[in-house]
Amino acid sequence: MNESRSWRKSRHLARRDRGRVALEHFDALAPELREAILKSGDELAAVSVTMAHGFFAGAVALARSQYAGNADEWEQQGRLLLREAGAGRAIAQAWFSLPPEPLCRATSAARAALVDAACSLSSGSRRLAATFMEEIGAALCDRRLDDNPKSAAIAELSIRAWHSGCSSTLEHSRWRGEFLASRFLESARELANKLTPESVEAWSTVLARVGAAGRGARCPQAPVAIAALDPELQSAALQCCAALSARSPLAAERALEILPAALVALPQETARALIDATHAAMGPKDDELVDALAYLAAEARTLPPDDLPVLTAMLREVARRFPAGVIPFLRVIDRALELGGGLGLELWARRGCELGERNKEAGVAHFRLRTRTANKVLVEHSTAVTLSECEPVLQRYLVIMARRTLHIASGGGTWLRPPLAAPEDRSVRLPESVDLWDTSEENQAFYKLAVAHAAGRWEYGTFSVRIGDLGEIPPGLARDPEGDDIIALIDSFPNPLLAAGLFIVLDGARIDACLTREFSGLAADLDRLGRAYAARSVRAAADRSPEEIIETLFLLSVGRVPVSELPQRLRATGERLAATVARLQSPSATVEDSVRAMIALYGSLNLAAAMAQGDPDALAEMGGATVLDLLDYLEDSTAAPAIDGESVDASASTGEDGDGFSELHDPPQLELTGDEPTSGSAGMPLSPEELKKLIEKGVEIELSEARGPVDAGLGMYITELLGKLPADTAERLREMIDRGDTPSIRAWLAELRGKDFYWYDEWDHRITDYRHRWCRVSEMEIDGDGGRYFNRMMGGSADLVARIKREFLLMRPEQFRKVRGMQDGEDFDINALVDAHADRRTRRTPTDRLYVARRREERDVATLFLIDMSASTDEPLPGTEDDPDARRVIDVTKDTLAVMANVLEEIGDAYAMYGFSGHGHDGVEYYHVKAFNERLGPTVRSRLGGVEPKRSTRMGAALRHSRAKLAGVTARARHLILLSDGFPQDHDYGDDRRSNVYGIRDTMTALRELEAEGVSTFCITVDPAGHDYLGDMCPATRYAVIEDIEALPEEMPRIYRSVTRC
Amino acid sequence: MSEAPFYLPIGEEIEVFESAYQRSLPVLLKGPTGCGKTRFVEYMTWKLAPTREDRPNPLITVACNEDLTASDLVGRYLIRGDETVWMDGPLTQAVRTGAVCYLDEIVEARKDTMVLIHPLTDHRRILPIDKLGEIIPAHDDFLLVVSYNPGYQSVLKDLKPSTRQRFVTLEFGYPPRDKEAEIIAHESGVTMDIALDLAHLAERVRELKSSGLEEGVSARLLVYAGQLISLGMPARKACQSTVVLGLTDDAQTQEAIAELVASIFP
Repeated sequence: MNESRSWRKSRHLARRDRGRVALEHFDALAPELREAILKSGDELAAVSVTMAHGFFAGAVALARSQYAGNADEWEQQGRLLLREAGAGRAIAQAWFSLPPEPLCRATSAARAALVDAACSLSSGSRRLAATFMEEIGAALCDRRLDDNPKSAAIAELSIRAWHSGCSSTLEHSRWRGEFLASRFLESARELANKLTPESVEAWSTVLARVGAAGRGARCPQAPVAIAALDPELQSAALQCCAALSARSPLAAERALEILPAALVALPQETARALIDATHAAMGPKDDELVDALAYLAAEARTLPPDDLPVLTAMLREVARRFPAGVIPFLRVIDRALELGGGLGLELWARRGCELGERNKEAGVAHFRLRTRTANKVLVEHSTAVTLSECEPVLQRYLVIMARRTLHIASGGGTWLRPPLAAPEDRSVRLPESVDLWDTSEENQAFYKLAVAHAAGRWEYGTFSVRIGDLGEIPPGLARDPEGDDIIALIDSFPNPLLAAGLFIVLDGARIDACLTREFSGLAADLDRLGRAYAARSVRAAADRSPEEIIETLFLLSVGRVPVSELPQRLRATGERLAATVARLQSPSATVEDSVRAMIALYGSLNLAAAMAQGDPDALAEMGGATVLDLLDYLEDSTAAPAIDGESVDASASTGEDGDGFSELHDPPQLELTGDEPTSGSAGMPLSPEELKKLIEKGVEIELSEARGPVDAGLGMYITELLGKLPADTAERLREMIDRGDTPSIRAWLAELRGKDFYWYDEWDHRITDYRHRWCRVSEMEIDGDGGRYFNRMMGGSADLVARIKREFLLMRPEQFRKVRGMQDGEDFDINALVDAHADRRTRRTPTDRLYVARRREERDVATLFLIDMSASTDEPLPGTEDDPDARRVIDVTKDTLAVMANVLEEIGDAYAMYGFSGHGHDGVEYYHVKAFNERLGPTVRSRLGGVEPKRSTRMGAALRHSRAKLAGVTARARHLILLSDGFPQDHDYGDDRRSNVYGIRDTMTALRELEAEGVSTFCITVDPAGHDYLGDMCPATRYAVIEDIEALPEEMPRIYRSVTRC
Repeated sequence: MSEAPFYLPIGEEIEVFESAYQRSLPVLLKGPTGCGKTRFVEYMTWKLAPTREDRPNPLITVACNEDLTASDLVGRYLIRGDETVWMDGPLTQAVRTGAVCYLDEIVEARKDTMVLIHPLTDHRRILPIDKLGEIIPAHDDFLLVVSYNPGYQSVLKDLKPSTRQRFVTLEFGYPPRDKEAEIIAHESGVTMDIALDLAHLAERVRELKSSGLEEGVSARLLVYAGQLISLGMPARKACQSTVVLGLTDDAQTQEAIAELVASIFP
């Protein structure tokens, strides 16, 4: 044996599979063939032993295969690579390492393309050329490049595409080129059989551009999801990303992930339209565009399929006619469809295009659903009912049903049973719109039922529960409540979401039963809508006992589903829970029973969740687990808490009869349905010791919030069952739950319960429309000063007050007017006398209405004083800037209010005083000083002293809220006097903070709205420049500029008299 | 009045009225519209002051309004041809014949009427008629009964303390649900179940008084509703024509009451 053939004896050859097989079969080959292989091997081994090994294995394999005829070509191509590609040892080595049979099975054109590409790349980077050969060669051998059966030539095209992408990446990205190009080639492992040749090019473009962005070496993830789309869509999506990457590489990188998620959820045609729209919308707001796509991706699956054709058409139309509208359009598609359905969407989108073609800002605001018109167009063509349209009726219905004054506030989400509000809030949160049913009558009935239910909580004692009277709550289950009402109790649980949800379901069953008994007309609606609501809301429970318990409870109580109609998997649980629900529905049930049931159920869910986590096998045993009454158990720990199925039924029937509720306290118990059921019993009760152990275990896990409450997800589950949360709210809640952030969950619940917010539209002169529900006004209480200021002021200004009172009293004779033609009076009516005399002479019956009487004019005046409490009122009065004790503008304002209050109290005119300030459109603050129905008592005096400068001046919203206040006043003449120290200004009151045009126009519109409702307005400013803008805002007779601020307290009564003409 | 008007006592108003009548003390009835004040006076008159020859009209009722003057109550000269003839007003008639004079919604009348009432309602019990230059002493059986509705008028139309303190005051509220139902059932002939539902409806609607409804629904309106129902009209429709449309012109309030009707009557 020739010495030079020692490469054959290398242990490396024998160790490799291919090498071993080749050695085994080598001897069986024809001698001349053996010699030829050895000869070539010798030559190659001179360059690289590894290459010789690859060649040897490949040549032997080829010689034994059907492709023996291709062996020469194969070898020559290898040698060509070695020769042509400079010192292309690594490339040739990669070639010989590829399995030769699959390589020869590929078309010769494809093989040639592979070799050409490698040769071509090697001039730039030999390493890259070798990688190309390894990755793309492997793809060719695995038949991943010609996956498309339609074209035999696809492999060659693909190789050329990968080559071209690789070359361009290498060229475009300067020093990062090689790194990116090799990543590009690596991606072929995942993408080679998925990307079409066109897509390969687009992918390389995105990769190169994203990679070139920023300073570090950055590389986007292989777009596997896009690659999974069908070829046409895939190519379009990647080209879309490529186009996006030209301007915003980072946005393009996100789009690679986000776009496919949106596209796969949509039908082909809609997806295609989405891509076109995305192309059209590209521009300076690419990040927002990708955000909008992400939002759409999250919502796409929930869009109603019937409306998708309209959506597709509108997407194309908006993209064509008003590309700037695409981004906001994508953001609100789901909401627009919810509000207006397909027809509404079409009209709304067309209107938006028309608007946008004329006025870009107006169009964008329209597509953001920020304008009143946009909302109107949508709502008018749908069966959805919005709160704003039925609020006046619902408000009255609420008062009737609750028999007390409660307020309606709007809240996100759709609830049949509104969130539990704190008793002192006296408010009921209702969904902003309801679009659950096919007819608006049913949607409205949904509102009615929600109101009736919320009112029922007041009527049937939900808020009268006193925690102290309930007895001891099982230790460790909840911390000590911080108050004595139901909200405090719920908040004391480690998972307040679950506690609140359970209470709403359990007590809701009681309230619905009470309503049904008292209002037979409601019974049918409750039954019908409750069933339908439960049927559409319920998401099938996870295969966990706790969720099944919750779902069963929900179906039994909200859905009113009889046990026999429950899904089979819930029936056993339903049989147990039915007794509890029936008990709560009995006439003698009280809120205490609901609370006890809630505590018991919470405890047992806790336990079940703990068991589910602690020992999965235990969960299976808990198929029969229902409710555990911890109270009962802890009261009598010696008694085994056993109960059999019969006694549950018996107690349920007692519940229906409505007597002997004491018996009903005998609770359903937690049971484990063992493998061997004891005779006469549905299951094997846990021993007290076992229970105690499990409870302790559950409680311990539950209370260790840092580790995340075991059953926090249960809270989410029950919340979702109870209502449809807006996607963003639900997401926020989910995050809190994932973090195990109980304090935040409590805060979220508190927010849900709701402070009183009021939403108002705001006039935007640039879009010549109202911005819909743009300003959020919160009513704020003023911290009083105990009346110190008022008393001091009255002591110091007694003269002034006395003088003004005198002036008012002197004016009183004006309150009488002469009435002619009376039957009795102070004087004769000469004209009537002459007529009567003439009648008598002509023998006609004369009138006996011969007198003139002076009749007292009844004053029926109500005036609302609206005070600007902006930070600028903190300024010292002009000319006193250097005086440390200088009086401020707000001080003079307060003096004025005090004087007016004193005088008006005396003459008996109705008046109210409110202040306003705030920051931003969603933070307008409306301060309560004195309402119309309040007297000038110690509280009002105290609040008056507490009037202090706050923040900005958003006048329009404050005026609109004042309008709502005045709407509740029945006086014949209603006035509003606005007292300010400058023009309206707030941080987002128009785009340009230096320009006050937006604020002035909005205030002007708000003043006009007031006038239109019959409220006369008058603006007073102490700003010497007031003429400049007040002249724009209102007629010259409806405003006054007070030059000498100190004179305001004296001027105001005069102004008041002239305004109210007293 | 031959037949006793139907009246269902709610508290001790009958005893109080009887005592006042015995001592000829004027009576002030306070209460909202339709709570049974007028029916009570009719009933008490039937009970205490039956028709006599010299008292053909034992109960003289005057519905006061803002154009009602003293001369409308006392009387006036009417011109007949070339003559003037004196005509007694309702109050003078009652004072002369010993009837019960019931001034309904007294605060609506002009203030000069109070001047007439004052001497009649203290120990003097006289009615001065300046146009005749006469002072008429009241008949022993004469009783002045006035009524007013404190919630209905504006504060300016409140009774002055000097007037108010001349009367024995009886306060009327709406009867409790069961009593009101009894009244409705009796007056309209509906079943007790329907009457209870109507009373329930009224009770709820009256809650709206705090939200701008001027007056709560009166028993009269409920009786009308009951009568329509007893004639076979569906309950919702009957209530719509009486309670819903009769109470207010405010469309939203009407709608809210209609929702309530629908909630109570299936």
